[in-house]
Amino acid sequence: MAYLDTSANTQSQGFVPEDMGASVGDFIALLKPRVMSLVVFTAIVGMLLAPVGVHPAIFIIAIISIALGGGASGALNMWYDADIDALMSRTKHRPVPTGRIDKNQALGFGVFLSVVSVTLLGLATNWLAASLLAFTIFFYAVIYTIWLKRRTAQNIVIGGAAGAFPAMIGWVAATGTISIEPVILFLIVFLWTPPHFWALALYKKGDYAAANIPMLPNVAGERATIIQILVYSVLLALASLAPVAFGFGGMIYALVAGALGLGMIFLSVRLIGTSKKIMRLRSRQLFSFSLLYLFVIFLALLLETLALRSAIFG
Amino acid sequence: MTEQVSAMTKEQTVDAKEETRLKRQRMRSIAIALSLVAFVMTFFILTVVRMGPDLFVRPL
Repeated sequence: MAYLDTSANTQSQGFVPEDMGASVGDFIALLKPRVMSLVVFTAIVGMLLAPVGVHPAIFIIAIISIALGGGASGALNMWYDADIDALMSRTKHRPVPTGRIDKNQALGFGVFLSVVSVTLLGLATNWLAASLLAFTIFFYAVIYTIWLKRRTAQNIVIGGAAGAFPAMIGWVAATGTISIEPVILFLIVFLWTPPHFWALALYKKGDYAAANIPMLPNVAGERATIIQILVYSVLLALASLAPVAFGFGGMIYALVAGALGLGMIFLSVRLIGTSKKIMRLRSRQLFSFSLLYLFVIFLALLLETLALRSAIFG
Repeated sequence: MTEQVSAMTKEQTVDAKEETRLKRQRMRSIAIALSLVAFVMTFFILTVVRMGPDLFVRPL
């Protein structure tokens, strides 16, 4: 849930005065659909990797619940951040800062979806998974959005945990227990978040400065940020090989994760010692690559596991 | 003549805004209705799947 939402830019066509009321699309935008798509994807992978078969109907309901939980976090984030969203080019066209949706409506919508999603997941799967989903929503809305985001340059390092939980929730929804595998999936997304967001913060530095958000490039400078990006990219590359070490990732996954990990490190190193203009361009490339990175390594892990299961069980 | 045209344009704009507002209201109502139907169906399916086929096995 700490993934970047770029959908707001696509909402920008046509500012609509508030007296015309919100459209259904505005309420959908409140759920941050692009963030939700990544939440859904990692949750699906977590659930399918679990060594326990789940009834298809339960699977679909669980994924819908996790998606709604992610959407609830987005709505609560937009409720609280309406003031700073109005100051940034990337977010100023969102439904709340433009006045298409009232702040209280966003809050009510977020709280309602939180209750529905947690209850539904608990009834459909188990209450451990539901508790994790409730904690994730709380973590994103309260710990990250309300507490950390405006106070510390480490906001997204800690807040990144919220985005890392869905894969674990998917696994727990299927098995009812937490084991080493979902912890590793959590760790991969957790370590992926800082380089992903700091790459964005490097080329959107002015935006964050305008909104007075203490992102690392604004507080510690670009050089310190690039070093941090590199450190996290190395840690990420190592963590992404953990599934192989713990026996639930095979050789194909090892090759994919190894190659993409080297790609992350290479793109991070390329940020060092360049002019500001080139650095901004390269940080944008790193940001795009990081999105591809997460998608591909999770997909590789999933496809390899499914192929192996199909070969064994027919 | 210009004033008449200006008044007509203003009226048309108000009408268009009101039409958009009503259209949005209608779409919101439809979305709420569909969400409620989906909610009820989800709980029905969930109950059947969780309780199994025994749910329907009972003396008449």
